[in-house]
Amino acid sequence: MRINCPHCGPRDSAEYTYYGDASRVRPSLTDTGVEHWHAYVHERNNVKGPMQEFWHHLHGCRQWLVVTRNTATHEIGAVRFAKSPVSDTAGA
Amino acid sequence: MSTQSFRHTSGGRIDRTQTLRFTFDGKAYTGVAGDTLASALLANGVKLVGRSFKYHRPRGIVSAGVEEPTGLVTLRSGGRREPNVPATMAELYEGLEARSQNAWPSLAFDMLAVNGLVKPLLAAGFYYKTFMGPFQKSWMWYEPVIRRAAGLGVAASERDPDRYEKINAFADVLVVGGGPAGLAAALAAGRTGARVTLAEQMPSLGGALLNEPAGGAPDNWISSVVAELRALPNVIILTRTTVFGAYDGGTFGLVERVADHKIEPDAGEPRQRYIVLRAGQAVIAAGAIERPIPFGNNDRPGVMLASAARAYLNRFAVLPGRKIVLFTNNDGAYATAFDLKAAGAAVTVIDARVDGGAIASQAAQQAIEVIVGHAVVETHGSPLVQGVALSPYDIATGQCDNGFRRLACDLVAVSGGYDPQVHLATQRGPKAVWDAKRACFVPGVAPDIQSQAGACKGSFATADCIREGFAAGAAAAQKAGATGKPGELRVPDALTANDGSATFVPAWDVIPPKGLREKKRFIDLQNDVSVSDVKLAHLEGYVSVEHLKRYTTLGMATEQGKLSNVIALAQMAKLRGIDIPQVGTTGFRSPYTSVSLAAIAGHETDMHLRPVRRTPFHRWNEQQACVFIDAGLWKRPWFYPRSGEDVNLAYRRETRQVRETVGMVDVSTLGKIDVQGPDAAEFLNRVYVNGWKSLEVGKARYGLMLRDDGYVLDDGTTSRLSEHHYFLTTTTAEAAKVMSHLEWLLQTAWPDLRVHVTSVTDQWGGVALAGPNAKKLLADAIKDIDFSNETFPYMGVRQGHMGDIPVRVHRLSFSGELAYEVFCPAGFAEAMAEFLRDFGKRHSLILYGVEALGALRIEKGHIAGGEIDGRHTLEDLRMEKMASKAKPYVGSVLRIRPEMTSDDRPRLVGLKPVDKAARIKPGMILQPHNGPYKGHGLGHVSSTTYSPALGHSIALGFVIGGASMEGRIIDAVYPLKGDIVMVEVVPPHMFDPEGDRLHG
Amino acid sequence: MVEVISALAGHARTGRHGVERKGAGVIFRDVPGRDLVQVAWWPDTGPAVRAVLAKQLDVAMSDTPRRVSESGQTTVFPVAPDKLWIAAPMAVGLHAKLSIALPVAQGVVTELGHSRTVIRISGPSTREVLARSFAIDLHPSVFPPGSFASSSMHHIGAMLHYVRDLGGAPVFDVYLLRTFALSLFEGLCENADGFGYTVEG
Repeated sequence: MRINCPHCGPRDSAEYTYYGDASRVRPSLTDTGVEHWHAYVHERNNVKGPMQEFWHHLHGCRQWLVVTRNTATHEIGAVRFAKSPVSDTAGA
Repeated sequence: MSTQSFRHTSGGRIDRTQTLRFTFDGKAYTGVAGDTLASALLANGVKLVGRSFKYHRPRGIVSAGVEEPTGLVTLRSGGRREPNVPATMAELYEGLEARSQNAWPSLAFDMLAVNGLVKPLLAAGFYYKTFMGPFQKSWMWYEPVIRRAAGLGVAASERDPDRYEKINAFADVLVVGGGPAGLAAALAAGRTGARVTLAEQMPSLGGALLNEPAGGAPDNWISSVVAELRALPNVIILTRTTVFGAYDGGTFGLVERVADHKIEPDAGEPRQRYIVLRAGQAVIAAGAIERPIPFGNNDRPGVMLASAARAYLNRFAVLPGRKIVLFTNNDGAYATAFDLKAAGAAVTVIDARVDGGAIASQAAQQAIEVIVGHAVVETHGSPLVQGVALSPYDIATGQCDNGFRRLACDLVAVSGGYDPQVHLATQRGPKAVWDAKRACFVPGVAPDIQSQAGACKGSFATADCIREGFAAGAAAAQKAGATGKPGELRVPDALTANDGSATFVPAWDVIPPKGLREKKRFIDLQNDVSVSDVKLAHLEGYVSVEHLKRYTTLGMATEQGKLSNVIALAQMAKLRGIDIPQVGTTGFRSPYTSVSLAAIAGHETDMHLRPVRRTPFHRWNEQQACVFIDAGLWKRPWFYPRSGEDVNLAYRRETRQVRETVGMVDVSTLGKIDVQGPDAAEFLNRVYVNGWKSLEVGKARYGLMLRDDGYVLDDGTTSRLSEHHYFLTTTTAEAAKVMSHLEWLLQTAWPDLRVHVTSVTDQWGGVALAGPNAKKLLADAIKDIDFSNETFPYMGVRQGHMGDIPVRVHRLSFSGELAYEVFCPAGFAEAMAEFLRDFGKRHSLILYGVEALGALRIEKGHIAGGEIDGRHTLEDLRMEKMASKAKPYVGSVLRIRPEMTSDDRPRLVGLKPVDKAARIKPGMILQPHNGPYKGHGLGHVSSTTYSPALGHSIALGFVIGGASMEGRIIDAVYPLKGDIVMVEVVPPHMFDPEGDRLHG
Repeated sequence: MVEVISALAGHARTGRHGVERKGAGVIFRDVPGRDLVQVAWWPDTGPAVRAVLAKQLDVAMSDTPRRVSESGQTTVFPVAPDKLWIAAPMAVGLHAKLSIALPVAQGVVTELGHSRTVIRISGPSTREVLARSFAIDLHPSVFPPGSFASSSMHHIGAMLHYVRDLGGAPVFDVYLLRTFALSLFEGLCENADGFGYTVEG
């Protein structure tokens, strides 16, 4: 599998580590709601199809990326830096 | 017994001047350069080459390629021994030694052929139904017996002396297959300037064109194309290279058989090379494989594919028989008849179709007898074919009419049509699609970066292959971004013959006429699966294609259905009364053909299996006669033995000496993270459970981090080096995980924080100096730091110099002694160690390793990896008081869930054996004294050591009730060995509980 | 002045090794004593930091992705969108200079000079040897001189830099984590065995 890192270009999946669903919204630091944190940490949808995922380019630029990947076909779509606005992307 | 008596006097693509000697089952033969083992054996008239898997029936060579189901041999010996090698793919070399498989004591007289007599008991699924009794454990007796009788070859048990390689490759266009379609595709793509890799599994390029007589138009075409390809610097041609798998992201797995055709690899050469190739586009020109037609005793040596018979004549100048029956349902196979007749064989064609049309007339003109509307019903003769029986045949139903006659022959060449090799396309997901007109499967929707050309998508005429290949190559190059022009490729007139597929009529079975006892009609020759097995599967309800495969074992092992898959599906479709596409087909998975594990491993074996991580003191430690221990990838100093000491004597001495004078231990493996920025303190405040805003410059603090789910992630000490600069340490084991965790928080949770974190584990070497003399020693060695308690209190951090070496000193203690951690840039580590050892002489400095390090911290009740194992909370570790109530931090909400803070959870305690001579073992389960012992008991032992300070074994562990259990006696149990040790629960700080020793 | 000891000290056997053939396929040389400093900033302080660096380093900073900028003995690697690595001789004292020149509100400087071992690989078989360790396309059409890649070698992070061509053969620098350097160097030698290699020391 190859992921096109916006900084480094297309690289083998072995350079990355996977961290799961990137569509979850992290509760704010001061949110004390146990239910909010439980949902964020433990509950996931089992998506068949395109999904947004966190990948860490561990052996490259060490940037955390949000990768759109189709869990059924493995096709990689858009890739962007996790901390940048949507406009700063490397296309599919 | 004349040698090479079946070698034809002319033709072939061999070098008759180079004689090669080889042995088969110990008998000596000769062949020539260019032979395969199969062609050389056939040249010598050797037709019996193996015994079948289940029934031990005599078997011979069926094909001339990778689809060979029965001509499997064991090559070489010792560590190079290789079983199940298709003789058709083994290139002959001088000194080759081959042995047949699955027969004892010999091929000719195989005792296990007796299996054939119990055939009815060995039908499909027999092992599900037989061997069930008489007792429940009977299978355990049958299984080893069956295992000895089953299987084909025997694997090597010695080390493989050869080297193997793994290499990364890249191409704009990968072309799979070097036949007419592939050569044309590579040419088109190559001419555009694209980077092309062409992979062909055979030693020579040309594909099916190599079955044509040598030296004609096909060879001329091949030569001219190959010459142009070799002149293009952007084209790489790999022969003897199989593309075995198509993976995500345009990645392909290839294996190149670099030296399989030599007696041993040349110096520096690998035996095989595994190539991971990433392609922009791929043109699959994998060709097609001929399909047989089942008839009675069709497994005898002397029955082979028609195209194989032609290949043996035209590639290897071997006459596979002298009196040949060609059994066909298509025009294309007639070429075999023509060529064999021209070579001097007697040929009779049995054409299963109602009418042989023009081609049959053409054959008749060449004095070849053609019998239309008939089928070969069975062969007779054993072990070798001596003749056939033929009957009138209805090709639509597969049924023979009454009556038969016999015909003598020594070769039956069969052609039932062609099956496109759809593997690489379907490996990517889209299922193959049934082409009713051609009666074969073709690739479905072309997946991702692939396109198909030629016979592998059902185009069997050479001219079509060339045109399709050329167009596909040009299109692929353009998609990959090449801008050059491919030009034109003229197809020579001599190559425009019709493929004969228009007149093809499928024939899936030959049902014998009345009056002829039914003989086994084999579908899968390798796994001994016959028509009756398919019927049995259907009868028993295993009608889906997946069940059919698994119930009958059809299509398993190395054959993988190449000659059997489609015939079985067609028969199941007929039994079920549905169309073939409704039965479907199983998916194909890589590898297309067998790949050795050695090639996959490449050079990553032995000392290169995994990388070794050494501290900056490693060479110096080696010079001190240190014994190392593996901690993950690290080599850590374990102990420094004096003469006669084993690890136990050494660590006890080291532990004692540290507490008496001073010891030095290499702590370079700790994770070290540089934290800088205006928001650094705020960041630390959010990731640690305790507060950081009040930490002054030049001070260190112990910290604990939680995960988002509230469990303890790691601990460490973090020092404030300057206003916005912190030095964070982690445990060795969690260093990488903590680093990723911090980066994840900064980049995804708090991108507004102005903080950068950088791993500096490799930048710094570090030692801990611990013991009553530590301060004096360092004051001697570092002149520009004032070590007095007032100026440099516990948890202080100072920078200075040891000679010329810049150092940073943190006054911390893992051992509970007066101690300091001293860091220097890694390249100065050896010099610093030497310096300290020199100055240490007058302070009785000793060296200690991680065993003593462990003993010291366990005596003090300090937690480490055994306790911080990802399953414990702050309360479990008795660290809940560290958690700030004034600020939120990672994990602060989920850590207070009721189950996390429940008193029922095992909590950290110390343990002392009641009998001072007894030993508490790591991992022991803690149970109530004298029982009842139930389940996970009260907790477990997490860390153990002998304590020199206390004079007996001690441990840390977790017990339900924690501190409230202090003073009580419980049992530490090792159930697997039945060990029980009575232990007293005590506070974890078993030595110097007040911490007086810290202050020196 | 105390000497920086290489991670390969005492272990890298100098001389000619591997398969007998005319001319070594590759030459390995350990390049000790090179300083490496990381400069990192935040999205809005990038331009200010570049201005400081331009002044301090005297290097024209290129914007081409995956390409170094260099001047004399100083090489700048854009290793991440918000980070640079600068390689220079130790004597320059880069860390101290840049720490003083850069206010923490704009950017931060980290000393990494001892954390990496640099191996220079040159010779006609350089790309073939590197292809056995790195899954990076090194064809000059996509990886021209001046290109670099932070990638991995045998599952350990490593950086690769195509320095230049010399006598028609490529020269690459491989930056290895110091603690893995000896082990990975041995792996490179294993990969070079079939081409013949020389270790210069």
